[in-house]
Amino acid sequence: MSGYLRQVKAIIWKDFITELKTRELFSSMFVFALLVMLIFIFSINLSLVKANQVGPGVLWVAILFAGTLGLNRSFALEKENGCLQGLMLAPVDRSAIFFGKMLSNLIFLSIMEAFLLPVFMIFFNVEVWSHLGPLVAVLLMGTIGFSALGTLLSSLSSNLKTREIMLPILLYPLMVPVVIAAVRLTGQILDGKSLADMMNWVGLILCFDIIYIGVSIMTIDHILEE
Amino acid sequence: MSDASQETDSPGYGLLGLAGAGVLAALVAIFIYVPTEKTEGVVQRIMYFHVPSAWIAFFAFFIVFLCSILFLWKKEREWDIYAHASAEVGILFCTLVLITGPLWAKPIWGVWWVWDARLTSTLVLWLIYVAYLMLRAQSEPGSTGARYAAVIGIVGFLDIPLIHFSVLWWRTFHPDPKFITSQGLGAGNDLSMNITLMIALGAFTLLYFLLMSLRVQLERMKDEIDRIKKERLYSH
Amino acid sequence: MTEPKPSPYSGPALQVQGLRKDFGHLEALRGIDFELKRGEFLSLFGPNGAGKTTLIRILSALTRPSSGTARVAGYDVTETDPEMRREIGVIAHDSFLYADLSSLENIRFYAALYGIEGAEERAVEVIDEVGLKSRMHDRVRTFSRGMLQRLSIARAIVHNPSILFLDEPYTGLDQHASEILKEQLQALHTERRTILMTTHDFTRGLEMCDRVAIMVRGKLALWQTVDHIDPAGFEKLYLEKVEQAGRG
Repeated sequence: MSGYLRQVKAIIWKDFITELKTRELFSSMFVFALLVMLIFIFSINLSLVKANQVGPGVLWVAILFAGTLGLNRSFALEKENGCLQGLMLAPVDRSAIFFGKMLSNLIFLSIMEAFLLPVFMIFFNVEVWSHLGPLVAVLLMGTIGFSALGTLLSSLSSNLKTREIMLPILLYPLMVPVVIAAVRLTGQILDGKSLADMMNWVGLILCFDIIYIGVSIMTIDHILEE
Repeated sequence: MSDASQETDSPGYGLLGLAGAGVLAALVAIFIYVPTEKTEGVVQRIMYFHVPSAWIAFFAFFIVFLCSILFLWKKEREWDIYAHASAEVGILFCTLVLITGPLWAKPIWGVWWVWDARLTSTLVLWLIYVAYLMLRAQSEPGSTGARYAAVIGIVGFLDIPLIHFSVLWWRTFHPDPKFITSQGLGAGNDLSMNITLMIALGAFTLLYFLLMSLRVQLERMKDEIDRIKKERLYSH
Repeated sequence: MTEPKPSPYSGPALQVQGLRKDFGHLEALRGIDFELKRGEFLSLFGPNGAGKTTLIRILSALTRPSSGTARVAGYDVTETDPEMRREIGVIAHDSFLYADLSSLENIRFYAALYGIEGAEERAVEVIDEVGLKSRMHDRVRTFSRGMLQRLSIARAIVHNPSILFLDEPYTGLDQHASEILKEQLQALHTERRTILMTTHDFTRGLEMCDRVAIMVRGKLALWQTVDHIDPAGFEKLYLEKVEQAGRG
């Protein structure tokens, strides 16, 4: 098992070093998320609607879009010079490749969210700090689901001719439950409600997370094998 | 290969006759036998198409799910063919649901579309399986594309309960009970209406199996052509 | 170059029987049979699209065969045993190296994947063996084709495999780089290491192999020990075989 963890760690570490050297992924994801927010702010009249009602939706759409950018990039990296085949040649369990990629996607997204949150707070003029605990919990739960299913689907779509187009087409309809739940939870938290009153939504996201991590482990062999 | 195609040829006609009779009976029941519903009027008859279509769409996607699992497990082309065929037929019925729904909604609710829980989840479902078919169309021939599709077939079906609950709870924040009760067959507990619905359901089920067998036959023919091409290419 | 560890398995390194692979209506392999003993060097010639790469991909368990069996160091390739993966190293046209990482980071990463103790030291050692120690901390993106090929060798031998697959290693190399590669392959060719190389270069292919094979349209058109091959007449023989198989 320690060998397994070491391999997962090696894959995450490799993604990190690459990112530290190129700084391509983080900057593009963050700037893209900012732009998405900005466009939404232009398209809604903030003096007519309550920021707490539209804000969470805008935040999650920005995360979703920027995350898709990151997912596409994540497997494009493995495709350059055929690196994925190098991974496949090594005595590495396929699920270790999945976990390595999923966790590095999760960590990159979380870092981006950490930078996005203060901007969100300023743009929408909402109070975030007093609800930081539950908000981070919701962000994490939603992002885990997104990373799990996203990593599975991007490993699949990276082999297609039209990978950049197919990833969102496959991913977004499947993400509907998490998006609805996360937006709803974020909105309620900003309105000052406690997470304990919304356990059905929390349960829904956790179900999603568990189901898709499980399905990914079971099906990743079939996707990576050629 | 030739055995398999003969096998599908013979029940094909039987199924065709059965489905034809079923559809005829359903049409008679829907347009002649069943009385016009009092509050909704003649429009209500569209429900006898709408509800069975929805049922068959779900059933078809369930078959895709089952066959996808079997394909990944057994790695037999047969299961891939069934999954593919069922997804196409399922999309057809799902599209019918999405067309008949608004047609009924316009005169009854006054709008083409409401973000009602069931309509919304059907739309999301439709999008998932359209993506599934797009994936099939895009991947190269051979088992790679089939395996990808099977993964989506599994992932997609498992999402259905989650979508259902999320959309249901999403809508309960803007409750409008009138929409929900008038949806489906809420208004009619009448025996003749139930009988008609059952007949329609039977006819649509037969129709599903007929379309499935035709689609499967078509796919087998494609395989046969590939086999002949291969023989031609390498025989001399 | 380090020798692979002695193995308790004494059977043939590669055993291939009735191997077939089809992609839709195209057949890449149409029944391949051969056996390669431990320590043998096989040069596999054949026109483009003959199925050489597909064969290597099946033997390295990257692609499943449609039918037939292939055993690598005694392991069935369809079972994808991790122990089998430790026995093989692959040098393909793609380098399998991350362009934005340095050579050391790349090799250390692969060493970690193979679970090698002291990954760092081992990485430095193999990079030194392929003569790239001075470029250890440079990004792979800045490397020439020849250097990339040498680093590929370092990647492929970091876990000291007993079987090496080389898919057209000489393609795209200049004379100097090709000479260095030849020397390294000679150093790698030891009693315990089996090598299968595909190439289009007759001189390079024939100068160090034990066995010669020609593959045309998914079948072996020639299987011979190198003693029976006249290097001067090989081109003629090759063209003949290709022509024959092409006509069917």
